[in-house]
Amino acid sequence: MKNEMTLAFDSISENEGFARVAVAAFVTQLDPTLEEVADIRTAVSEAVTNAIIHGYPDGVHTVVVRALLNDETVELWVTDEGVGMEDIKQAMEPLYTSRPELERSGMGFMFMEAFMDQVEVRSSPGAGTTVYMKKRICKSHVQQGG
Amino acid sequence: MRLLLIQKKNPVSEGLFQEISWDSPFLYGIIIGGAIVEWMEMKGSRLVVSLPAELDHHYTEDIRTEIDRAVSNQPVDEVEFDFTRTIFMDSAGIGMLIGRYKIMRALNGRIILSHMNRQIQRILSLSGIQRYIQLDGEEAV
Ligand SMILES: Nc1ncnc2c1ncn2[C@@H]1O[C@H](COP(=O)(O)OP(=O)(O)OP(=O)(O)O)[C@@H](O)[C@H]1O
Ligand SMILES: [Mg+2]
Repeated sequence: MKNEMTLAFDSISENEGFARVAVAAFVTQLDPTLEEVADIRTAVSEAVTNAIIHGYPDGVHTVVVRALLNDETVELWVTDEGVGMEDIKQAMEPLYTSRPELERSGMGFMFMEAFMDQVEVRSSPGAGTTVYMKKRICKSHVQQGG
Repeated sequence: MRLLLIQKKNPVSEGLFQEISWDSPFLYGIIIGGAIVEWMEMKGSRLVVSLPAELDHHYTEDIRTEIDRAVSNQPVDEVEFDFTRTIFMDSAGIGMLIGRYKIMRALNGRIILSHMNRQIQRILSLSGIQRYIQLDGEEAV
Protein backbone atom coordinates (compact mmCIF):
# COMPACT_ATOMS: atom_id res chain seq x y z
CA MET A 1 0.00 0.00 0.00
CA LYS A 2 1.00 3.58 -0.57
CA ASN A 3 -0.34 6.60 1.24
CA GLU A 4 0.90 10.11 1.87
CA MET A 5 -0.07 13.04 4.06
CA THR A 6 1.22 16.51 4.87
CA LEU A 7 0.59 18.60 7.98
CA ALA A 8 1.45 22.29 8.26
CA PHE A 9 1.10 23.92 11.67
CA ASP A 10 2.23 26.87 13.78
CA SER A 11 5.55 26.59 15.60
CA ILE A 12 4.05 26.61 19.08
CA SER A 13 4.80 23.96 21.70
CA GLU A 14 1.16 22.82 21.90
CA ASN A 15 1.62 21.34 18.42
CA GLU A 16 4.38 18.94 19.49
CA GLY A 17 1.74 16.64 20.93
CA PHE A 18 -0.55 17.18 17.95
CA ALA A 19 2.16 16.20 15.44
CA ARG A 20 3.04 13.04 17.40
CA VAL A 21 -0.56 11.91 17.63
CA ALA A 22 -1.35 12.69 13.99
CA VAL A 23 1.67 10.82 12.60
CA ALA A 24 1.13 7.88 14.95
CA ALA A 25 -2.50 7.60 13.84
CA PHE A 26 -1.49 7.73 10.17
CA VAL A 27 1.18 5.07 10.61
CA THR A 28 -1.23 2.57 12.18
CA GLN A 29 -2.31 1.72 8.61
CA LEU A 30 0.89 -0.31 8.37
CA ASP A 31 -0.06 -2.37 11.41
CA PRO A 32 2.98 -1.47 13.49
CA THR A 33 3.72 -2.88 16.93
CA LEU A 34 3.16 -0.64 19.95
CA GLU A 35 6.90 -0.32 20.26
CA GLU A 36 7.28 0.81 16.65
CA VAL A 37 4.58 3.43 17.17
CA ALA A 38 6.34 4.62 20.34
CA ASP A 39 9.61 4.92 18.41
CA ILE A 40 8.00 7.00 15.67
CA ARG A 41 6.20 9.23 18.19
CA THR A 42 9.49 9.98 19.92
CA ALA A 43 11.34 10.69 16.67
CA VAL A 44 8.57 13.03 15.45
CA SER A 45 8.51 14.79 18.80
CA GLU A 46 12.26 15.41 18.68
CA ALA A 47 12.30 16.74 15.12
CA VAL A 48 9.24 18.94 15.58
CA THR A 49 10.49 20.31 18.92
CA ASN A 50 13.81 21.18 17.27
CA ALA A 51 12.03 23.03 14.47
CA ILE A 52 10.05 25.01 17.05
CA ILE A 53 12.89 25.74 19.50
CA HIS A 54 15.94 26.00 17.27
CA GLY A 55 14.55 26.60 13.78
CA TYR A 56 12.25 29.40 14.88
CA PRO A 57 13.71 30.91 18.06
CA ASP A 58 11.70 34.09 17.46
CA GLY A 59 8.08 34.32 16.53
CA VAL A 60 5.54 31.86 15.19
CA HIS A 61 6.11 30.35 11.78
CA THR A 62 5.10 27.18 9.96
CA VAL A 63 6.42 23.66 10.52
CA VAL A 64 5.63 21.05 7.87
CA VAL A 65 5.52 17.32 8.51
CA ARG A 66 5.16 14.99 5.56
CA ALA A 67 4.66 11.26 5.98
CA LEU A 68 4.83 8.63 3.26
CA LEU A 69 3.81 5.03 3.80
CA ASN A 70 5.07 2.54 1.30
CA ASP A 71 4.40 -1.16 1.92
CA GLU A 72 6.64 -1.79 4.91
CA THR A 73 8.31 1.58 5.34
CA VAL A 74 7.48 4.91 6.87
CA GLU A 75 9.30 7.98 5.60
CA LEU A 76 9.04 11.33 7.36
CA TRP A 77 10.15 14.82 6.48
CA VAL A 78 10.06 17.55 9.15
CA THR A 79 10.75 20.95 7.64
CA ASP A 80 11.18 24.47 8.91
CA GLU A 81 12.22 27.57 7.02
CA GLY A 82 14.06 28.96 10.00
CA VAL A 83 17.63 29.77 10.94
CA GLY A 84 19.22 26.54 9.66
CA MET A 85 22.53 25.06 10.81
CA GLU A 86 26.15 25.93 10.08
CA ASP A 87 27.57 22.56 10.98
CA ILE A 88 25.21 19.60 10.64
CA LYS A 89 27.79 17.05 11.74
CA GLN A 90 28.43 18.85 15.00
CA ALA A 91 24.70 19.35 15.58
CA MET A 92 24.12 15.60 15.29
CA GLU A 93 26.84 14.64 17.74
CA PRO A 94 25.41 13.07 20.88
CA LEU A 95 25.08 15.59 23.72
CA TYR A 96 25.85 18.58 21.52
CA THR A 97 23.44 21.43 22.12
CA SER A 98 23.63 25.08 21.13
CA ARG A 99 21.17 25.97 23.91
CA PRO A 100 22.44 24.57 27.24
CA GLU A 101 20.86 27.56 29.00
CA LEU A 102 17.44 26.19 28.01
CA GLU A 103 18.29 22.88 29.75
CA ARG A 104 18.52 21.09 26.46
CA SER A 105 20.46 17.87 26.80
CA GLY A 106 21.60 17.41 23.20
CA MET A 107 19.87 14.04 22.93
CA GLY A 108 17.28 14.81 20.24
CA PHE A 109 19.24 13.53 17.24
CA MET A 110 20.55 10.66 19.36
CA PHE A 111 16.97 9.48 19.99
CA MET A 112 15.96 9.98 16.35
CA GLU A 113 18.88 7.81 15.26
CA ALA A 114 18.17 5.20 17.92
CA PHE A 115 14.50 4.87 17.03
CA MET A 116 14.56 5.19 13.25
CA ASP A 117 16.54 3.15 10.71
CA GLN A 118 17.81 6.19 8.86
CA VAL A 119 18.12 9.90 9.70
CA GLU A 120 19.38 12.54 7.31
CA VAL A 121 19.54 16.29 7.75
CA ARG A 122 19.55 18.91 5.07
CA SER A 123 20.11 22.44 6.31
CA SER A 124 21.67 25.72 5.41
CA PRO A 125 22.01 28.90 7.45
CA GLY A 126 19.13 31.28 6.85
CA ALA A 127 17.22 28.85 4.64
CA GLY A 128 15.96 26.29 7.14
CA THR A 129 16.18 22.61 7.88
CA THR A 130 14.64 19.35 6.75
CA VAL A 131 15.05 16.20 8.80
CA TYR A 132 14.37 13.03 6.83
CA MET A 133 13.71 9.80 8.72
CA LYS A 134 12.90 6.31 7.58
CA LYS A 135 11.77 3.22 9.44
CA ARG A 136 10.85 -0.26 8.34
CA ILE A 137 7.73 -1.70 9.92
CA CYS A 138 8.14 -5.45 10.37
CA LYS A 139 5.26 -7.38 8.89
CA SER A 140 6.42 -10.57 10.54
CA HIS A 141 4.99 -9.92 13.98
CA VAL A 142 2.08 -12.06 15.09
CA GLN A 143 -1.13 -10.12 15.59
CA GLN A 144 -2.67 -10.67 18.97
CA GLY A 145 -6.27 -10.75 20.06
CA GLY A 146 -8.14 -10.43 16.76
CA MET B 1 -2.56 14.09 50.10
CA ARG B 2 -1.60 17.69 50.59
CA LEU B 3 -1.87 19.98 47.66
CA LEU B 4 0.90 22.50 47.32
CA LEU B 5 0.16 23.80 43.92
CA ILE B 6 -2.15 23.53 41.01
CA GLN B 7 -1.22 25.26 37.86
CA LYS B 8 -2.93 25.24 34.56
CA LYS B 9 -2.95 26.93 31.23
CA ASN B 10 -6.61 27.51 30.74
CA PRO B 11 -9.11 30.14 31.75
CA VAL B 12 -10.76 28.08 34.49
CA SER B 13 -10.25 29.62 37.91
CA GLU B 14 -7.61 28.16 40.24
CA GLY B 15 -9.82 27.47 43.24
CA LEU B 16 -12.16 25.17 41.40
CA PHE B 17 -9.80 22.23 41.60
CA GLN B 18 -8.54 22.51 45.13
CA GLU B 19 -10.17 19.36 46.45
CA ILE B 20 -10.78 17.39 43.28
CA SER B 21 -8.95 14.09 42.96
CA TRP B 22 -7.31 12.69 39.82
CA ASP B 23 -10.28 10.37 39.41
CA SER B 24 -12.61 13.23 38.70
CA PRO B 25 -13.86 12.97 35.12
CA PHE B 26 -14.00 16.74 34.99
CA LEU B 27 -10.36 17.13 35.85
CA TYR B 28 -9.40 14.33 33.51
CA GLY B 29 -11.14 16.15 30.67
CA ILE B 30 -9.15 19.28 31.45
CA ILE B 31 -5.88 17.37 31.22
CA ILE B 32 -6.75 15.75 27.94
CA GLY B 33 -7.66 19.18 26.63
CA GLY B 34 -4.03 20.22 27.01
CA ALA B 35 -4.05 21.88 30.41
CA ILE B 36 -1.17 21.52 32.78
CA VAL B 37 -2.25 20.35 36.17
CA GLU B 38 0.59 19.43 38.45
CA TRP B 39 0.46 17.94 41.88
CA MET B 40 3.33 18.35 44.19
CA GLU B 41 3.21 16.91 47.64
CA MET B 42 5.65 17.00 50.55
CA LYS B 43 6.15 13.66 52.29
CA GLY B 44 8.45 14.52 55.13
CA SER B 45 11.42 16.13 53.41
CA ARG B 46 10.59 14.50 50.07
CA LEU B 47 8.85 16.46 47.36
CA VAL B 48 6.75 14.09 45.26
CA VAL B 49 5.93 15.34 41.78
CA SER B 50 3.17 13.58 39.83
CA LEU B 51 4.17 14.02 36.22
CA PRO B 52 1.65 14.59 33.42
CA ALA B 53 0.70 12.04 30.76
CA GLU B 54 2.94 13.56 28.09
CA LEU B 55 6.27 14.91 29.27
CA ASP B 56 7.53 16.99 26.35
CA HIS B 57 8.99 20.47 25.92
CA HIS B 58 5.53 22.00 26.18
CA TYR B 59 5.09 20.73 29.75
CA THR B 60 8.63 20.68 31.14
CA GLU B 61 9.00 24.47 31.06
CA ASP B 62 6.31 25.01 33.68
CA ILE B 63 7.10 21.94 35.74
CA ARG B 64 10.71 22.90 36.31
CA THR B 65 9.75 26.45 37.32
CA GLU B 66 7.39 25.15 39.98
CA ILE B 67 9.81 22.51 41.31
CA ASP B 68 12.59 25.06 41.56
CA ARG B 69 10.32 27.41 43.42
CA ALA B 70 9.24 24.64 45.81
CA VAL B 71 12.78 23.49 46.63
CA SER B 72 13.95 27.03 47.25
CA ASN B 73 11.00 27.84 49.52
CA GLN B 74 11.36 24.93 51.94
CA PRO B 75 13.89 22.28 52.99
CA VAL B 76 13.72 19.40 50.51
CA ASP B 77 16.13 16.44 50.67
CA GLU B 78 14.68 14.42 47.83
CA VAL B 79 12.55 15.05 44.80
CA GLU B 80 10.58 12.03 43.61
CA PHE B 81 9.31 12.09 40.05
CA ASP B 82 6.31 9.81 39.89
CA PHE B 83 5.66 8.58 36.33
CA THR B 84 2.47 6.69 37.18
CA ARG B 85 0.39 8.68 34.70
CA THR B 86 3.16 9.30 32.19
CA ILE B 87 2.95 7.48 28.87
CA PHE B 88 5.35 9.62 26.85
CA MET B 89 8.67 11.37 27.44
CA ASP B 90 11.28 12.75 25.05
CA SER B 91 14.63 14.55 25.41
CA ALA B 92 12.94 17.57 26.98
CA GLY B 93 12.00 15.37 29.94
CA ILE B 94 15.58 14.13 30.21
CA GLY B 95 16.85 17.71 30.20
CA MET B 96 14.40 18.63 32.95
CA LEU B 97 15.49 15.64 35.08
CA ILE B 98 19.21 16.37 34.63
CA GLY B 99 18.62 20.01 35.55
CA ARG B 100 16.80 19.02 38.76
CA TYR B 101 19.51 16.46 39.53
CA LYS B 102 22.10 19.24 39.39
CA ILE B 103 20.06 21.49 41.64
CA MET B 104 19.43 18.75 44.21
CA ARG B 105 23.08 17.73 44.17
CA ALA B 106 24.01 21.32 44.94
CA LEU B 107 21.59 21.16 47.89
CA ASN B 108 23.17 17.86 49.02
CA GLY B 109 19.96 16.11 48.07
CA ARG B 110 18.95 13.69 45.36
CA ILE B 111 16.23 12.83 42.90
CA ILE B 112 14.32 9.58 42.57
CA LEU B 113 12.25 8.26 39.67
CA SER B 114 9.34 5.90 40.18
CA HIS B 115 6.65 3.95 38.31
CA MET B 116 8.04 4.26 34.79
CA ASN B 117 6.46 2.29 31.95
CA ARG B 118 8.51 0.52 29.27
CA GLN B 119 8.71 3.46 26.87
CA ILE B 120 9.97 5.73 29.64
CA GLN B 121 12.49 3.12 30.78
CA ARG B 122 13.86 2.76 27.26
CA ILE B 123 14.36 6.50 26.93
CA LEU B 124 15.99 6.66 30.34
CA SER B 125 18.41 3.84 29.61
CA LEU B 126 19.35 5.28 26.21
CA SER B 127 20.06 8.62 27.84
CA GLY B 128 22.53 7.14 30.33
CA ILE B 129 20.89 9.14 33.11
CA GLN B 130 20.79 6.07 35.39
CA ARG B 131 24.40 6.63 36.28
CA TYR B 132 23.33 9.60 38.37
CA ILE B 133 19.77 9.03 39.35
CA GLN B 134 18.18 6.39 41.48
CA LEU B 135 15.35 4.64 39.73
CA ASP B 136 12.24 3.55 41.57
CA GLY B 137 11.37 5.37 44.74
CA GLU B 138 9.38 2.50 46.18
CA GLU B 139 11.77 1.76 49.01
CA ALA B 140 10.73 2.54 52.56
CA VAL B 141 10.15 6.22 53.12
N1 LIG C 1 15.50 22.60 13.02
C1 LIG C 1 16.67 23.09 13.47
N2 LIG C 1 17.07 24.33 13.11
C2 LIG C 1 18.25 24.84 13.56
N3 LIG C 1 19.09 24.17 14.38
C3 LIG C 1 18.76 22.92 14.75
C4 LIG C 1 17.54 22.32 14.33
N4 LIG C 1 17.48 21.08 14.86
C5 LIG C 1 18.59 20.92 15.59
N5 LIG C 1 19.37 22.03 15.54
C6 LIG C 1 20.68 22.18 16.19
O1 LIG C 1 21.18 20.91 16.55
C7 LIG C 1 21.48 20.86 17.94
C8 LIG C 1 21.30 19.45 18.45
O2 LIG C 1 19.92 19.06 18.39
P1 LIG C 1 19.40 17.95 19.41
O3 LIG C 1 17.94 17.79 19.21
O4 LIG C 1 20.25 16.74 19.29
O5 LIG C 1 19.71 18.60 20.83
P2 LIG C 1 18.94 19.81 21.53
O6 LIG C 1 17.67 20.11 20.83
O7 LIG C 1 19.90 20.94 21.68
O8 LIG C 1 18.64 19.19 22.96
P3 LIG C 1 17.44 18.17 23.30
O9 LIG C 1 16.87 17.66 22.01
O10 LIG C 1 18.09 17.10 24.12
O11 LIG C 1 16.44 18.94 24.08
C9 LIG C 1 20.61 21.90 18.56
O12 LIG C 1 21.12 22.37 19.79
C10 LIG C 1 20.59 23.00 17.48
O13 LIG C 1 21.77 23.78 17.57
MG1 LIG D 1 16.28 18.65 20.35
